[in-house]
Amino acid sequence: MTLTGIDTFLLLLYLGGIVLVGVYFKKYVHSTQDYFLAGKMLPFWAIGMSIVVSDIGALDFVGLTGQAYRYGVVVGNFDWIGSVPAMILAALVFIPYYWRAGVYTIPEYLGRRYNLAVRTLHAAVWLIFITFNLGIMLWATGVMLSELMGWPIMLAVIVTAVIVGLYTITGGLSAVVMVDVVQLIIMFVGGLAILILGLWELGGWGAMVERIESMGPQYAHHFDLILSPQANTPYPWTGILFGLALVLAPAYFIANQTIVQRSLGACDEWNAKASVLWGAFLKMFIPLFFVFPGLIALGLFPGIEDGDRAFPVLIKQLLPPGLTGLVFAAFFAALMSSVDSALNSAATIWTKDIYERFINPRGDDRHMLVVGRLFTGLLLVFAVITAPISSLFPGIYVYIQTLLSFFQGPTLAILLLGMFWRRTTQWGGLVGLLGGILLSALLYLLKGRLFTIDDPFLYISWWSFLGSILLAVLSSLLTPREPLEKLRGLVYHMVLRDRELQDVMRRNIEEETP
Amino acid sequence: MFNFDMFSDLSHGWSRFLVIIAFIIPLLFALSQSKKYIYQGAADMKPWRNLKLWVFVIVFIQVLIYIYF
Repeated sequence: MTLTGIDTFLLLLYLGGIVLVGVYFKKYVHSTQDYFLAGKMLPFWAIGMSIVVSDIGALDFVGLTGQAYRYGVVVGNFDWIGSVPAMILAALVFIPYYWRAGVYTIPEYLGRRYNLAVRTLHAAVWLIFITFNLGIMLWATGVMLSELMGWPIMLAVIVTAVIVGLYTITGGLSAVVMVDVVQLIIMFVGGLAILILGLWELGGWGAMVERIESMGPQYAHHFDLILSPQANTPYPWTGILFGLALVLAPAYFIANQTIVQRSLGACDEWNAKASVLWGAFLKMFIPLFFVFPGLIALGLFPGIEDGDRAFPVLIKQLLPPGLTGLVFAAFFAALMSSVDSALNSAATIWTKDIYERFINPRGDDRHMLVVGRLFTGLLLVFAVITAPISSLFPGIYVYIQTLLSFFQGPTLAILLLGMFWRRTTQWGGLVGLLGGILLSALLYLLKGRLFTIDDPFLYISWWSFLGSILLAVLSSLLTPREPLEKLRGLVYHMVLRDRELQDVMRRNIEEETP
Repeated sequence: MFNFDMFSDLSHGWSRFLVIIAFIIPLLFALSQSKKYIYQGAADMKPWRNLKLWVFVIVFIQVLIYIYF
């Protein structure tokens, strides 16, 4: 596929603009709080937009459209029931809780509530995941850009890394969030262009539904959000409700450093809460721009064997010059927003949970700021170097995502127990986390015997979450209670209802932070 | 058990109802919160800052979507 002059101009204008916006925020970074939490100055609208755009990667851009082409509107569940209820609870319960507790990272909370082993285990797993995922994301992006634009893969990887590195290393979280705002606008405009042109071409929504449903019985449920457990789909409603809505979505919006870190950078508690609700509102539109184009592609171009080809075909056949450049910019936006968010979160965990905790606890704030930037740069270099390894292991992205899902249910389980059940002990937390991860792995190994659907990751998440809770409760009851002083400020009602305690906690945090 | 066999005979209508409940619970939770908590940290008490209203709008749209599809 080749871009016309106007397309190339728009793309270059966009890339240059992104770098300028990002680097502009360097002047606001004077401390680690400025770098990792944007100086706690961010407004709700920017955080909400950043949360949404960070959740959409370049792979989703192609993958979601491809899934919708194959399975229909049911894929929209991931952005609707698979996000919205969890985001409402995150906004009203968990974000204000973290915000008042004054933590930087989720492992930091787990360390205070349980012990150093839980903190380190969580930080290590999360870091390994993000670090390797960065390389995979960059490589997958390079492959796509190579297919779409004819660039050599490594050139695409390096260009992406340099652009993202420029604004993430210099401007920290505020640059990442503000660039994300621009990215979301570009993505929405690009997605809207495909939606309007596609529906116009098909003769409207009704004509599209009629055309797809008349293609045969295998398309009869392409417009159903709720599919029976007996249907031939990886997304039956039981998996969507129990695995996605009750475990994976809360784990993502409550226990995911990338998401939580943005809200912790809010200028006040109201903005912190409002940011996630604003994000939930925007999230409702994502299926319009990523799922519906898959249906449009099916209506216009039935018979594409690989669903993931639906998006490139749509761009090539549907969009006029100018709009193609805009959609390419949206594609770049999707990939950069995921890479910058992962990079910033990983650097925060490296600096706060590993370097400051184990290597140099006495370093001053200026030193930690340098270390944070250095880690960001090193992670990016590591990602570029390891990116080509992805080509040696086909399907590694899916494999890494599966491994992460092993971790999600148990993390959510010990977070919820730690916050809401005072009796949970440090050993309960450790056994719940470790045992839950092992249970996930066991269920995955036995998936052929235990589950009737092909890819039962939603079911595995639910059962590992329940198993983890059971293990943590039993272990807690068998071990001595935690002293009350240790729990002060770490159990939900203590944080939210004890103003005096909150003042003490804030002072403690200020003293801990050099 | 692992495949939620107990729900296999549930009608489409009841499945839809259970899914919609997953939206109604957070809405009820939001509506039950005190005004002080909802506005905590807000610069003023203007009606648009009432986060209960935000939750209501979001859930309303979602329920419509799940009824339509």
